[in-house]
Amino acid sequence: MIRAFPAAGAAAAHRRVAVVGVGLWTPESGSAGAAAGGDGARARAATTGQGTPAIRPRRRASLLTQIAAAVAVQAAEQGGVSLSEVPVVMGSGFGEMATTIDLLKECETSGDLSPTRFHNSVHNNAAAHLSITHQNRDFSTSIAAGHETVAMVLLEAVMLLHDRGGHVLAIVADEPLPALLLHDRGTPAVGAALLLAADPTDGRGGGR
Amino acid sequence: MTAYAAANALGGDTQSVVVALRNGRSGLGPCPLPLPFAAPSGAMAEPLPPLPARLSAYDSRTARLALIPLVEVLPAVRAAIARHGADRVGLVLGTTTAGLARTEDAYHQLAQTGALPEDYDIYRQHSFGGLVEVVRAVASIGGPSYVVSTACSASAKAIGSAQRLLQGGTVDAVLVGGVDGLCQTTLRGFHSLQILSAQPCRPFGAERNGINIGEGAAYLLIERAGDAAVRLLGVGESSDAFHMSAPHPEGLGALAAMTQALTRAGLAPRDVGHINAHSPGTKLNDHSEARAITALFGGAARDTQECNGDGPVVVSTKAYTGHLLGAGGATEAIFAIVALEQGWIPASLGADPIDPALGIDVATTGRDLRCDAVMSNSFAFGGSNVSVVFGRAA
Repeated sequence: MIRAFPAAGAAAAHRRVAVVGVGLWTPESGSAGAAAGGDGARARAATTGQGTPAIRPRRRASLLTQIAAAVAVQAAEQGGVSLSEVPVVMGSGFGEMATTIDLLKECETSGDLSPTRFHNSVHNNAAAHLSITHQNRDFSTSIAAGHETVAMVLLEAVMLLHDRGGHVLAIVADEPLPALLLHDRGTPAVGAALLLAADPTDGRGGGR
Repeated sequence: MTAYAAANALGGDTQSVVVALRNGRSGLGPCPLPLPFAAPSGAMAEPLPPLPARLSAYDSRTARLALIPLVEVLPAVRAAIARHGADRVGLVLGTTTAGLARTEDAYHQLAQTGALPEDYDIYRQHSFGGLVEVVRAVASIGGPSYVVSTACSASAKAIGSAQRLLQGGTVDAVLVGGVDGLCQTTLRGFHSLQILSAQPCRPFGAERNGINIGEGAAYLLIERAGDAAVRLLGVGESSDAFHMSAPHPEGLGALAAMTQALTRAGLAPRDVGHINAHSPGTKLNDHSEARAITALFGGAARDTQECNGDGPVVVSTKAYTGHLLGAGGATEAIFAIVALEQGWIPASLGADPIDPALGIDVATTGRDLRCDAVMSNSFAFGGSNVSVVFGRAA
């Protein structure tokens, strides 16, 4: 459930923000790998099984990172903004769960962790890969708030627009939750992005 | 900045932590986790107090850690809620692992017995959202509440988020926090990167040999209005766009964050008297941060006890607490604030003899130092950089 915050709502009423680009990914769309420069078929296959994805997307990128990259590219292209300079607010309820499960397995078996898996397990992995891939040295953050993650990503993005003007790319994505860590069945993967622009009439917008 | 509190290996309350810092006493000791390698760590004293019974379904090491220093700031939080209303007080927490230690235990049981613990709940005990719910429930916060998780810059970036929430008019006060607990994944992960030291870490020291991991929690209550003695002046945030786990060798991202923080604070480099550096104890990190500091402030040697424009005195406090990961930014911001408030800086423990290639003024002994502005740096995996500047109220 997304809680409504009267105060945030009141503030948002004064923040005129335009949506100038949209990105969307679902297991049915299956375009994460292709749009992100990876292998769409593999990414799609990774979402259809139960539990830990059986097929790893190429170039060691996690499904979450591929989904985030895919929706980022869609929204940026639609809005005519370069991913090399737009600030990014990335939200994910659970972050890099598949990579985390791999690390837990390594802990349990050999005890030796893959250094690459380890640094790719951080919550800001997807945002960092976007930054590195597109040589974006600007603002980037990664947040989470359970069922309120989407709302908090939008709030963070709107506050950033109020502060700096220009554009902000707001991304939300989650991998399938692994069934082996759930007492019930897993959840599907999904991703979306909104490229937001400050309205120049807001008084703080325009330019950075 | 109306209240703050920290708990870590130096002590379970702010006063104990500050006294240990002033006395140059490290909190590092043997790691309590079973590991096949030596890893001095900054562990909290056991046992950790349990969660309140009504929140027991959220139990994790990190949640327990989060509540320890929260007790100290609760009166100030309640006063802020009384002034502004619960919906006008927000919560931004920085963490890297959230409840990962709990999931390690659950996965171990699954591997051994084929079944998860009956009371394991990934939503409440593992997720970032579960941690937010625990702190929000205890603090009775009703405004926007979320986690920033950008690895080791997380709780410093939470300060930036808080500043924007305040400036944007969404809330009137924000409780910023940082928390992380020791766990197998973190210790073994840094070991796999070959940067975990088997000895106490020596940030900025010529004889450095890697990092130690610590655990703890810290909070800062930041309000838009008030008569606090210390003000949050500016936050700068940037990305290296270079590598997932190695800093930019020239410190370009760090320099951008520090420059932006100063600009937003309306200060010149000569105004900053002290930097609590990120420096966790690796050569790459030390050289990268030192190059950024030198580029912004110039090479400096300060022997006086006053700010005279010669450049800031630099200290790393990682050899006291260990690298606190997601709790580091908030904890070290508090250390910088204490330096500003009380007019002294701690020794940069382990730095002597200093790496001669650094070219910055690292304090190998604690000393009195009075200045009007201080900076705290936090850098992280993914090239996430943040610099925070605090100043005395005018």
